[in-house]
Amino acid sequence: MAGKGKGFQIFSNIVMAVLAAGALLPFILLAVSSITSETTITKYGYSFIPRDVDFTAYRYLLMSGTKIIKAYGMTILVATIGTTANICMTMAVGYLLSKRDLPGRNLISFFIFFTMLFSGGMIPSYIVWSQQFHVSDKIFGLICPNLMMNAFNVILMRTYFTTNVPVELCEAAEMDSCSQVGILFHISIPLSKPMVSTLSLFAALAYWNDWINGQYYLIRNKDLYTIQNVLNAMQNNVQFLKEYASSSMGEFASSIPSLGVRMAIAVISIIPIMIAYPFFQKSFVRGIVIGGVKG
Amino acid sequence: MKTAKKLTAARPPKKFVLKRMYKYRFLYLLAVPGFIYLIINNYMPMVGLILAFKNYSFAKGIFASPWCGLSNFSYLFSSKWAKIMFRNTICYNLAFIVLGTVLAIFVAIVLGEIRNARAKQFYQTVILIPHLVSMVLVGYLVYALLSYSNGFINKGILENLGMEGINWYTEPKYWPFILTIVHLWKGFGFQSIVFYATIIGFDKTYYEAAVVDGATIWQQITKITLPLLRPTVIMLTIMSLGRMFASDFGLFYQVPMNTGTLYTATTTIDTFVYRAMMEDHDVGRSLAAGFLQSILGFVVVMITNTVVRKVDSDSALF
Amino acid sequence: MKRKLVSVLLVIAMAMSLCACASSPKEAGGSSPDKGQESSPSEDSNDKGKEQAGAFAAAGDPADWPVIKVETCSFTDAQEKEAEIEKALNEYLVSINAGVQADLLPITVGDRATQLTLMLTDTSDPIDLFAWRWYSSVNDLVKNGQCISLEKYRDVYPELWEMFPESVYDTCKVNGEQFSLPGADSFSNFQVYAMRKDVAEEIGVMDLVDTKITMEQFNEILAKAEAAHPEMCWHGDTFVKPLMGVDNLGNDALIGVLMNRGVGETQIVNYYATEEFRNYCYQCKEWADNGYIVDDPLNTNYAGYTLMNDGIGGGYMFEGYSIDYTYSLMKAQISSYDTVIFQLTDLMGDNSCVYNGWQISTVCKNPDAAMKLLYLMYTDENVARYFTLGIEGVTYQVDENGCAWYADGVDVNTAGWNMSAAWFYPNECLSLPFETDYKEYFSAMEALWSDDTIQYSNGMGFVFDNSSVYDQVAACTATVDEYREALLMGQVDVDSYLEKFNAELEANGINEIIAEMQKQFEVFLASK
Repeated sequence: MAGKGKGFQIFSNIVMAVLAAGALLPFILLAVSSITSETTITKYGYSFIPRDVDFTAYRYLLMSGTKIIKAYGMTILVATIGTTANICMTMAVGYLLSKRDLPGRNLISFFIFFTMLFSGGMIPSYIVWSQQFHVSDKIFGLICPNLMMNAFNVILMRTYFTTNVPVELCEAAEMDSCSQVGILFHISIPLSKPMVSTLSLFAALAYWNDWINGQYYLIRNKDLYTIQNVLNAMQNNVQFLKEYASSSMGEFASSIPSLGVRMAIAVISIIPIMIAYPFFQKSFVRGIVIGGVKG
Repeated sequence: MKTAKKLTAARPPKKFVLKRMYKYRFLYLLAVPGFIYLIINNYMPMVGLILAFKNYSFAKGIFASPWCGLSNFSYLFSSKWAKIMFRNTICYNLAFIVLGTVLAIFVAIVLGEIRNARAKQFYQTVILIPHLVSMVLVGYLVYALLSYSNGFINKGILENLGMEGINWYTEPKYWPFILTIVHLWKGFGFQSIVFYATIIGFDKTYYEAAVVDGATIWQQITKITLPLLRPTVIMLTIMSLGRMFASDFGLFYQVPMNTGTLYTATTTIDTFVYRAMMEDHDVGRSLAAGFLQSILGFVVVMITNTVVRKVDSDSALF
Repeated sequence: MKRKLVSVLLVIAMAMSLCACASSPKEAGGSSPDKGQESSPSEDSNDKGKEQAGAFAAAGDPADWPVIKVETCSFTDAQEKEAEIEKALNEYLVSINAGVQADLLPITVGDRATQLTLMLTDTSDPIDLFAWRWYSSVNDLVKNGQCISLEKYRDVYPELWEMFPESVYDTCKVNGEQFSLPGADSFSNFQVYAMRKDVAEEIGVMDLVDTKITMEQFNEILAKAEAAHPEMCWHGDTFVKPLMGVDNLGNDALIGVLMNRGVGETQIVNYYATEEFRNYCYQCKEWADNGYIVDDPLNTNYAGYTLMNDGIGGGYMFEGYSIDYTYSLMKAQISSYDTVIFQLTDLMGDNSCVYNGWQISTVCKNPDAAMKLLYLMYTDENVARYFTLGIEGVTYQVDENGCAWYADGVDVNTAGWNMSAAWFYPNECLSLPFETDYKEYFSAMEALWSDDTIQYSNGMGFVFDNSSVYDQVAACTATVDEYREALLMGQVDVDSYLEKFNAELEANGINEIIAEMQKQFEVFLASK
């Protein structure tokens, strides 16, 4: 990637700046709406420049105070454990499948890929996890179902190992009587750091964004709620009450938090990722450097 | 030398199978937890697929519920909606696969060319934001842009240009474009990061050699980057084809805000099933739809994979 | 060697992390230790005291009583007082020797449909009592095998079958069998129009306030209001069934209805093909063209009172069972303005007026005990109030009028219990009017149950078994969703659009549905 031309640099930067703006502007709209009062939105619609500044939405969220902080802690815990388990299993299976002369390679690949196509749906999955493995109302309920490994990541990993780790290198190592597991740790993983960190990011994002496990498996023990569960429960309730608010709900109906709250919820759940992402990227970049040296 | 090895790898002599299995024994062992997980998490619940052929009763459970043949499937085919929803699901997915891949590769390449590390990091972070916003909120954002009386496009742009506002939510003809744009906007960051990670992992010596030979950037891209990306692209495409009969429910339901007048452009199999199930929660019928989507996807994947294996056995998925 | 060791260790570590989940059943009760131990069923004691099928007698040590898990309604997940209220309720149950203990399970409304569906499959830690409001209908619960028949309890708790008008019980029956008990409500209603008082005074229509007005008078009021305040909208929702005058027979798509809200009707009608619907569409179109309804009506789903509180709306339509009741609702909802009420239709009862019912799940292990608790929720004032209001002095206090208010120092956000949903529980009339001065709130409602002048739909309790025309119903429902809203919001040309709409409904087989419905309806009428 040793493009010379300054012209191409300018072109690339312009393209990326436009795309980044396209990605960012709606988010700004979101952030601005979260500090605009409901009345203003119903009256004048959405706008990029706040007409009035109103922190009701954030105050509403702050009311849950320690709950939100606790939920952040929970999210980090769940995401860390889950991502670690996920990436270990993904690498192990992906690496196995990357061996071109592996007996049963196609069969195993098919076994993995098949899970992407067919699913038994919500109820059977719930019955397995809650009644066979009793994960309900435990932290396992947030970690184990669905997110611990997925076929998509395994296949990405496999393809990366096959395309980006030169066969010659592995063979040379074999000659040096390096074991297969040794090759994985000393050659393949270091060479695959960009993909490993990308897949870790994906796994972490999946855990971060997940609220379904909490909805299914945390019925009583709300102390285990992650940030997405807290925010999503709030959001679902708001949405529900907006739709079904009947006159007999009395005062409660009129105190239903507004659209602004939902926007604020989105802002609150996105910002940490924007902060954490650069750290992921550092390992990204370091991965390339190490990979470069080893390769 | 490389091709020679590939050949031996592709057609290994049978008698060495056990030997090779022995060689990889620890790798198999390492992968066992992953296999167990898939069995528990994916294969065990798949038993539930039989519900697609049953009248599910909560009291009787999955196995004791009575069979009902194929009757759970008929509602998907019985009206003019069948044509609309299958057409929409397939066409949108094809458009998404083609455009999404092209855009993501383009972004990945452009991103790879940027030298300023800080700028690079900034772009990478920012293009991932749309992936993090829930579809419900995307629906509101789209509404903020397109609302007839208050929307940014009507009020902020068309009005200033002296043009008449467009009633976006009553005209199905705009929505194929709107939905495609929203889909690309939401997904391009995620997808391009996969390609980007692949590209930066390529052997640098290819490019160094190319530069020495005086290759232009364009030549480097078309002669080195794209061919090297091919296996990844093929693999991702095959995987998307498996989901060709499924659709992103949020995109087709939340983003158009379930507006009735747009149904001809926004009804996919999933939204139709959702609306049909709203009142009676029929587990068997909704699973039947899922089962059908899976089977069709499966067929498409098997065909594609067979073709790919004939042409380029290394890129095949299995 | 070292590496092999590492790999073996890794495998073991991963396998163990997986097994951790599998091994946890031993501690399954751990999450609710206080309840887990108590829940040993008392079948033997049950047999002893049994006089008739389904009867339930208290026996032995309260610690051995069966624990019945019952859902409670929560709008937010802040239900901190749950444990305290549960304890107080159980102490009370011991004091009256009820023989049953309660385990309250607050489920937030937003996640409720999903969580209930899942819990109803759960036989290891079953939910016993639940309501169908916002979840499903009695018919579908029965079809899906989610609740059990209550017929055998009819002789044990006859009072439960004597509280409401006969036809109300019919709405919770399937094939003549009682599967659910209706939740107390007014069971009849009329449409009212609430308007800002200052506007009503300004346009000089105060003489019509609190009376029943005709459609012409209503349109006149709207016209005057619009002339005085063109910047405001006058109502947002035009899908109002009492105003349309139909009994929906339990389906919101209105495929096959009884006209005149079902009073005296025996003919199932395709509503969308009627002159009445055409005229109502013209009416809606006129409202829209005159600028009475909100901007962007297809996508603006703000509730009428939100629009009014924000100063965008000047009035809106809703349902109630008495004028006083509607005023008390207005006071709670509209904080910014005083309002006046106009009555638009007559008081009648149809299927859409039965909002809720309670039933015993099929996963319940001790239905007799569950029924006992349900019975207490319907008849015991104290039990009912633990559910609707919590604990006196802790969550609520009572004023000299007998109305309940938030206890000192707590409000809607800090009360720790949801007191705004009395209507969710079996018998809200045992509760106290909450946050209102209208002390007849519940007594007026109760009075309606024995009021013979109220007319009920002939279709009360008619449940359409759509299994033979399921495909047509699915297709027609989607078609109704596609066309109806634009018509009712006056966004399209009525005649041409309606023609297309009806042609498509016919192509999707609406006539087969209507014919099948009529057949079943005649059987239903004959059985009455």
